[in-house]
Amino acid sequence: MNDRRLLLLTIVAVAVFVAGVAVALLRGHGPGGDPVVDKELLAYLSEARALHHQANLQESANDLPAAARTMERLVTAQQPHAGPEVDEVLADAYARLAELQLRQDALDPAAKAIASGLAHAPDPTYFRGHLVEVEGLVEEARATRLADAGKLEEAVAARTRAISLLEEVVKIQDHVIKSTLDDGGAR
Amino acid sequence: MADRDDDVPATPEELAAAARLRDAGDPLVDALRAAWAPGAIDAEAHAALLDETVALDAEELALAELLREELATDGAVVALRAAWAPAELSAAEHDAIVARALASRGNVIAFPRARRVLLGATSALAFAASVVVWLGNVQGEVPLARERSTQALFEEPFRAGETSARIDRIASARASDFRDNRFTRWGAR
Repeated sequence: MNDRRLLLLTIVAVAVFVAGVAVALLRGHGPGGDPVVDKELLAYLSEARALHHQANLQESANDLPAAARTMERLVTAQQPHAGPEVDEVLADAYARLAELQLRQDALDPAAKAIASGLAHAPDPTYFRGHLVEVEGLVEEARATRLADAGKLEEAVAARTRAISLLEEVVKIQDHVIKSTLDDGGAR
Repeated sequence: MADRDDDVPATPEELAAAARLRDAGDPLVDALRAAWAPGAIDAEAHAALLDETVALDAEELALAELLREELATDGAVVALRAAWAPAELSAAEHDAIVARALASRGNVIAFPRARRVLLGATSALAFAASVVVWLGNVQGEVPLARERSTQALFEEPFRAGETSARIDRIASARASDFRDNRFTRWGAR
């Protein structure tokens, strides 16, 4: 084999090697499907985790307004891109925000937070179930407040809404549990 | 001195004397006139002035020619001229350069046989490695973890006060996915 053939063989081998490595690096980036789990999503989840734990500390110190503000920071934080995880983190953050506002007797802001959260959880999941559950608790508290104010008719309407919402929670959770069992409990 | 009557016309002798005085010129008078009211110099006078100023004798001209010839072939001067105002090579210069380059081919050191064998072996190994990598790509497709609902991470309905535990689990699970994706991209799957 002369030098030229050796050189040609080397060039071909290197070209094939480079192409193989390129394919290996690009593997999994085909068109279609949801975005892959990337560092932007991870950064967002880390930020969400940090804010939740910050709110924990504020709750432990009985500083509910500060904890609520922390959750508001989370729901208004910059998001990497639309995706299931981002929606579910937002849904859960809105649920916690509503709980904190409910504990401060701020019923209308709590209801507003619930409405925002439900937009991120349209399907029957634990996240939507939890949001509807908190919404039911808000209406229950509203019924009590109205009754205390002597507005009995409005109190009855609020209580009816609360019962309906909590019934919806039962249906959602039943649906989720049934779906999980139908999947054979696959995780 | 007797008073002069200006109305008396000059005599021919006086006029002739005045003309002689004017035509004879006086360097001091000329210099004063030129400084006071400089006039245009005629072309002939100008040329003569230049010739007088820059005229070189034969020896100087010969030396200048010699210097020009020396500079035309001096390597440093040629390089500086080429850098400052590059010009196209003449065909003869081009041919000369090519001829020098081809002539130097005889100085190539022969590749030793041992090195040729080493090159051949390296090429064969590289080719084998590339085939392995290629086949690994074709046969071992490992999908990347994609974004998806975190519902599957939870086995029971959520309870109040456990939100941070849920985000802990979500972040931990997706961090694991992210690491898996990196390993997959690196071909470590």
